[in-house]
Amino acid sequence: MGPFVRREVVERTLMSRDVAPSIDETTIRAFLSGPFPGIVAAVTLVEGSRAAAEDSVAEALARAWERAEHGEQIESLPAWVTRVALNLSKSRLRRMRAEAKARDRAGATTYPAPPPEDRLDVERALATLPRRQRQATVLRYYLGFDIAEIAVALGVFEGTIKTTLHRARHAMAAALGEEE
Amino acid sequence: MPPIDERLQRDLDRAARPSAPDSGARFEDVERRRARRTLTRKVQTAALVTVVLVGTAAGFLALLRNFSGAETPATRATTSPPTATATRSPVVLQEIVLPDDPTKVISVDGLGSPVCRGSEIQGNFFGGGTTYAYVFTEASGAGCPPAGGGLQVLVVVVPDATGHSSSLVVTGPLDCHTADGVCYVWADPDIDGDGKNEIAVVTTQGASTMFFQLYEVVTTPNGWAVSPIVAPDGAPVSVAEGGSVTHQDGVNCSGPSNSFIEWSASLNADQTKYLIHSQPYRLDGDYESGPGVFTTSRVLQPLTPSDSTVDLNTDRPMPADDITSCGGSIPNPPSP
Repeated sequence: MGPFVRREVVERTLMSRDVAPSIDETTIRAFLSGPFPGIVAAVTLVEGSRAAAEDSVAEALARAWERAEHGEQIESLPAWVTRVALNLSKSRLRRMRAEAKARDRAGATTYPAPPPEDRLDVERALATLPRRQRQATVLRYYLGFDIAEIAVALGVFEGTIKTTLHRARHAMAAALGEEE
Repeated sequence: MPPIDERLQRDLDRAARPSAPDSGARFEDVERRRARRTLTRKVQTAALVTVVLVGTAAGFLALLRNFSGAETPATRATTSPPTATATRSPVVLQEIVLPDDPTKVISVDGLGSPVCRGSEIQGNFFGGGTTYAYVFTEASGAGCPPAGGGLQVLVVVVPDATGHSSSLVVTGPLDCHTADGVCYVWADPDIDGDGKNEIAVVTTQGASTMFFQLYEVVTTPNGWAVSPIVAPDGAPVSVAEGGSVTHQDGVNCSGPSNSFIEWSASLNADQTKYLIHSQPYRLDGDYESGPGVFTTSRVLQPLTPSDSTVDLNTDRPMPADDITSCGGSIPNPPSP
């Protein structure tokens, strides 16, 4: 499924939300069978842990549902869930990494972990980018978000996203030996 | 479409492994999480309402007690002569003396159980002068538990209700993942520049990086309390500091007022430069967000981050890693 097919899934979910503005069981089920797997894959690409990504996206979706029940308006459920899941995943992985480091107190520093050999070049290149650049790259090229949507999802200005994407693209092109 | 854009789309699509939609089990999981959050929110709301009501009632009673005899009887023939204004001397708070042997169990007035493995820092934590903050491990009848065993709590000495003596406020248990499993009070920065120091507690310490959490003493309708400073997701903030040649984390207060910067530097693949991601945070707002309305914790708000590079072949310095630029000092540096 390419980014623009995923984009259609997101848009269908947004349209169904327009018909029924509140988030209810139907919306959640539609989300789970629609954008959920793609967002899990996107968070996995950013953070590297599939388990943490699945947990974070499920938790973010539960939070959205719970908040909507209390009258909070969520403009775009996929963008909101993506944003919260990325934040949750960051916190969780940080704790996991810290715990691993605490256990590994024999002296050998294990961070950052070397990329496994079975990773694709693009994964290895992605892992060398700063977190914000990784997030912007995955949202743009995997989920097919436009600049404005990435800015909303990451909570920063559009200009910042343009700069971030420019740097990420430059770094990825160099790492992959591609022309820009 | 430029070749790099095409390649990124194609390769990321190959690299990503979307999970198979499984609405049944997944839906039950999400519904369970939502129910748990709803319950938590109700409990928190009930607790907050209770605190506000009890505080209001206590305040009303205190005012009633103080002012009920103040009215001068109309039949009084003479007035009292003016008296000199009483000067209230600053309260001297009682320091808890820690034994040289950290495993020695001590009893502290105001704590429900004996404690051991204490660490201490001084600072102006309540805004009225020097006081003391500690991390203790709760001991039992069997003595001091092994390092990392037993509940660990943060304890701060504050003035009591009369303002003339000492009292204790406690929070915990702390989630500790240091080398020996024991959290400790580390530093007393004043990030928001309000004159009150925050309390930095090291909760995680690895081979080269440690993580600290921030706490502050706040006023509530029931008196002083010690409360964690939280991230926007509600979890206590956990800030990284330290690192190795390939990755470093640091903090400083060189940004705007009321803020601090958490930065993270990663060495690039050819080891020629560091890629630096700087995330500023702002700490403002008040524990009492409105008259009689109290939040449970203040939130550290992320500001717009920035990225930069430091070339190892130039003299351009790395960002400062200095919590003391936020004020305060580091009485308890991490052990090597």
